[in-house]
Amino acid sequence: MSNEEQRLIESAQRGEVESFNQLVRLYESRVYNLCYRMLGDPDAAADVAQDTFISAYRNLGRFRGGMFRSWLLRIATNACYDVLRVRKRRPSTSLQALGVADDDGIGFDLPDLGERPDDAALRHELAAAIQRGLADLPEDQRVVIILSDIQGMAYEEIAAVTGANLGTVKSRLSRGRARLRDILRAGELLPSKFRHDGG
Amino acid sequence: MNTSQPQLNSMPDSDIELLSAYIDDQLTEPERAELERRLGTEPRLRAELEDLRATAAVLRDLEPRPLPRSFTLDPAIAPRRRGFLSFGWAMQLGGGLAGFALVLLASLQMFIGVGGGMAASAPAPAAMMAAATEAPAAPLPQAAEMAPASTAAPMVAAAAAPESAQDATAARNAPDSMASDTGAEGESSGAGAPALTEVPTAAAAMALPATEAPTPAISASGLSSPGTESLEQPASPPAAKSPPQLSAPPAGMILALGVVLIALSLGSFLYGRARR
Repeated sequence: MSNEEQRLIESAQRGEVESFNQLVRLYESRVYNLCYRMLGDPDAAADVAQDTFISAYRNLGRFRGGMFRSWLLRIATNACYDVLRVRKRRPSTSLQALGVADDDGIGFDLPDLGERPDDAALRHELAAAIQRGLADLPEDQRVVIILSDIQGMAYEEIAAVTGANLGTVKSRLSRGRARLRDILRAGELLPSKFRHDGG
Repeated sequence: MNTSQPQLNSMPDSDIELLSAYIDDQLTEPERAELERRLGTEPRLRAELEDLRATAAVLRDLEPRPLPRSFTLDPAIAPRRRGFLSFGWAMQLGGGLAGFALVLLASLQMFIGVGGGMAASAPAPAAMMAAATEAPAAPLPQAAEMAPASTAAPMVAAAAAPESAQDATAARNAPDSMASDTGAEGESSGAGAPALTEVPTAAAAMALPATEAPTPAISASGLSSPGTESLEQPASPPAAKSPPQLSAPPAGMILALGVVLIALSLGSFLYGRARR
């Protein structure tokens, strides 16, 4: 944790909301994307992300050092688990239950002027397939895949966020990758240069 | 897009885990060497590795979803932070201290009140009642001086003494004796133990619901004719003996209330810690 971040945390712990908001701006994209990939619904992800920062502000006194990012993501992860638990008790046939937003991968990002339409469509199709694949994973594998492969976090930090040991992180990551690999392979969405049968 | 079910992977989970850790450079040197040896001789293992790498690459290249809005907090409506001396924590501490004070008060009443007559102890209004009963005449001059100042004291005396017989005794002897009781109380309250003044009042207030029933009896007996006194006088010796017994209930109630307060405070504290 940098000195600047430490300074912001200490200031926020003294009640300076603007200092906390600077921390929010640092991590809101990461938190929101974690929530979105976990829940598959942009509105639910926004609600959980907001609740995460509110909870973090209220409980800043309990942050005893270490990586602030890990602490924040742990709050977000637990909040996502709570939402998913409620969903299980109230099953729905909506897209939300499938973990796929109705506009996933389509129309929400700025068009790349240098990108061919076919490539853009393929990119959107891939993003939608990945989100469907993530929704198909058990929650414990899903969060590890998101933190490791989508957000690029190290095993140790993932263990801190999820509360699991390193061995469990490795196991969940390998199983999650294998399942996603199968889904993408079935959809012929794996990049050709890596595909063993494409050459 | 092919919508067929994903093919079941027949490769052992242990191999998948090795390959996954290899991608992340998480193998020990001996493990890495052994795996690389196998990759050189097992094409299927090599193919699985490439597929896993492709999967990880696709995930890594996934574009982050743009924020729908900022999640910064509005300073005007930001939630209050839970400080060290939070309201809940203060309530727990206050409740625990109050409970401890009540337990201490009850203990003093039990031990000092049973001794029957240490009037210097303000938490023993029953003891004061007993002392006043034994020597009603002595405090009269003081009562005459203190009466205007002790308007609240009768309520304290009446409320703090569910021992209705004692109050009846005080009322019977003379209206002045009530004042004398209060006068004695007022004296001791004023001079003896100011720190305990509030506690008896609190104890009195807590004991009040239990004392409401006896109060009409006190009033009735207080308004009884002088003739009643003579009939009831023989009862005074037993009443004189009763203070030790009559002091027990309020002390017991106070003790119970104190224990309950301490238990609630401790339970609330432990529950709050467990929720973290």
